[in-house]
Amino acid sequence: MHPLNIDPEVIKKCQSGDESAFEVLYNSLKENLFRWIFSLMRNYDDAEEVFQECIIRLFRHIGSLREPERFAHWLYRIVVNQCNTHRVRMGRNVHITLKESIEVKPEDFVFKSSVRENPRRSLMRKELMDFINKNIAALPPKQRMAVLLFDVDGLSIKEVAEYLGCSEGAVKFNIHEGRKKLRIALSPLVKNISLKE
Amino acid sequence: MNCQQVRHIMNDYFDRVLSAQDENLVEEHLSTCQDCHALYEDLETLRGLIRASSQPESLPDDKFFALALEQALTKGTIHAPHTLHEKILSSLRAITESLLSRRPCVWRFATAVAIFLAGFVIATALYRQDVWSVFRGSKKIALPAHPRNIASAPSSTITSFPLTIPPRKSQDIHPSGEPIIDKSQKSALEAALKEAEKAGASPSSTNLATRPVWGLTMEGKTGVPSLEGQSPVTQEQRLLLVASPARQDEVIESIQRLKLNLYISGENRFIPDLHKVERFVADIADATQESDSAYISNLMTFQEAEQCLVDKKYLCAIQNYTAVSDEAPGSLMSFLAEFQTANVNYEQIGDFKSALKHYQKCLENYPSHYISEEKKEIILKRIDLLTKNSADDWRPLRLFLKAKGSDVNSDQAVSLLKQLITEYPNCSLVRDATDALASRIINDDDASLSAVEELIAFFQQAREKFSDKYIQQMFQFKTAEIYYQKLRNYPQALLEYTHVTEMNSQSDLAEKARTRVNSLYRYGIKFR
Repeated sequence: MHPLNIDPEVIKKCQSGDESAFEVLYNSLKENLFRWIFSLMRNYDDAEEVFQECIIRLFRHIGSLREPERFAHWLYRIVVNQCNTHRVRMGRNVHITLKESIEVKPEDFVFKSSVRENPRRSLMRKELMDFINKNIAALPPKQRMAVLLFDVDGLSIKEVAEYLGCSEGAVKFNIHEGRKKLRIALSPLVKNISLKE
Repeated sequence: MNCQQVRHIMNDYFDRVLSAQDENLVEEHLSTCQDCHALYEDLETLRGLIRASSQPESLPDDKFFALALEQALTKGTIHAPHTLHEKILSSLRAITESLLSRRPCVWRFATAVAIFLAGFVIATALYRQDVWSVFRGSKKIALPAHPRNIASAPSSTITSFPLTIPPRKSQDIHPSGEPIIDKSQKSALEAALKEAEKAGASPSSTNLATRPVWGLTMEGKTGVPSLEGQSPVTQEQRLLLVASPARQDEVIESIQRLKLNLYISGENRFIPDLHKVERFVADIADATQESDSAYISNLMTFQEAEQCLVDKKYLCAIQNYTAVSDEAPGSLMSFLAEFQTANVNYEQIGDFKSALKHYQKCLENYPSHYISEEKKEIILKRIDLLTKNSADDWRPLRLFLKAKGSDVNSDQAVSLLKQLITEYPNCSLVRDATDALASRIINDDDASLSAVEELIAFFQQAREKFSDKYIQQMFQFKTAEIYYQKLRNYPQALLEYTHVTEMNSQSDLAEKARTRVNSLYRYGIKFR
């Protein structure tokens, strides 16, 4: 879970209708919130749209939050729900088969630019990120969310089950299946890929 | 541990959710097995890729964040519902917003459903009015004077006893939807029968052909008028048969066949309209020269059996059916009793051995013209099912029938069907169970999104376990149907249907999938 470290007093002030308190709250979490949403949506434009929806809902419904201490959990649920809703609305659940994926070579694989990046390398890096994000976005919704919440956000199986509204068994299954599909789809990058499981 | 075992739990090991003992065993194996170790490294690399790619290249500019805040501030106010009224309004508002945020076609569909329901209610009201008027109009059917009685009993005619077709009242309908026998009618019937016996004389040679017969077409073999093709109400009102002494046996048999076919015909259920049965019994008594008491008595035993069925006294029903078969072996009524006995054993009691025996008797011991096409189809299908699934005391069949029963809720039914598929992958019911699972989820308006997605996951898992190519394709097809009909995720459905066609392009499932694909393309749905 991304740490938010929001002071519950700020939450309470927001709940009492103090708009300036809401601005303080907003400014303190906007960047982390956007990163969260991007990690789930994997697409810049979608992340912007979902971010706007989340902020509207945050502002409108913060008054109904009974336990200010659980603000982070509550906000997380909003984010997960809005991501799902946006995906369903846009119908963006498409599997990409291996033959459709773009050609990449392992040596093009760079995560951090430890040296001064030239434009060509920067472009290749962007393409790689796009390639990875495209394949993650192409997973079935439950598998994608389960993998991201578990592997990226570090939630427990139980927490993931709670956010996704399914059983722990289903979460485990979705994580395993999602990883299996990604291993195949990202095989040019995952050196030791073995399809025999 | 061997490689297969380790790979099976590799994900759990990677996620650190195994017991200490299992962890040690896996580590021991990984230290010696290069392939499995490579798999573990793949998982590490994969997680690294996913995490690294989860960060955006850059954040939006300040203008974007300022705009987002402004939108939030202008679109609503912070409001905490305090009173119950406010809380209810808040919930309703949330629901409405949720609906409005969906595509407009939801509202169009809802409007269409509302219009359809209104139309259905109006149509039903009008139909019932029409039926009611028929019932109300036929309060008395006075039998014309029997010619023989005119001659032999100058001062009396056959009593035009009130053969009323009682209008249906709501309290006449059993909770399960079946009519409740009206005991008062039975007494009136018995009185009428006695009266008919008194009034009837020995058979005479008087020609009865002058008795009017309305709107009847002649049947080929026996020459007895056929009522088939006429509506039940018309048949009831107009049923009056000529019975000459010489052809009495033929007529009785034909009456037997016609009557029973009438009240069973065209119905999927096998509980007859008992009012009609009484009516027919009275007609039979009137039409025959002698009050064929053995036949009437047998018919009444049959009525009792049917009543037991309505009352859910199944063993009692079977006893009565057995008595009917013993009393009139080889007759149509005996066939029907045999058929009903088989059905009760199959559907209610679960005695599949007896059910199989009685279904086989239906085919072997009775002439084919006793068996309507509908019944023949049911008998053959059930014999096939019972023969193919007799292993383990018909346990797969029991699971399947229990899942279809009315005393299990939706979750229990889904669980039973999944159990059938998992535990008996080779049984012939797997296809029916898969069909039933998909239908349940698709037609269940209360099914949660998680239940739907769990079923999709189950189908995907099952697809990988089955070696039968057709069944694999079936799981894929049902997955596509769920995306199409339930989730309305048309791009995903399009993809899933395409996979179906790729698995075996010649099968009937592929054909259905192609139809769907074509219609989706027609509506502009495409891969994104």
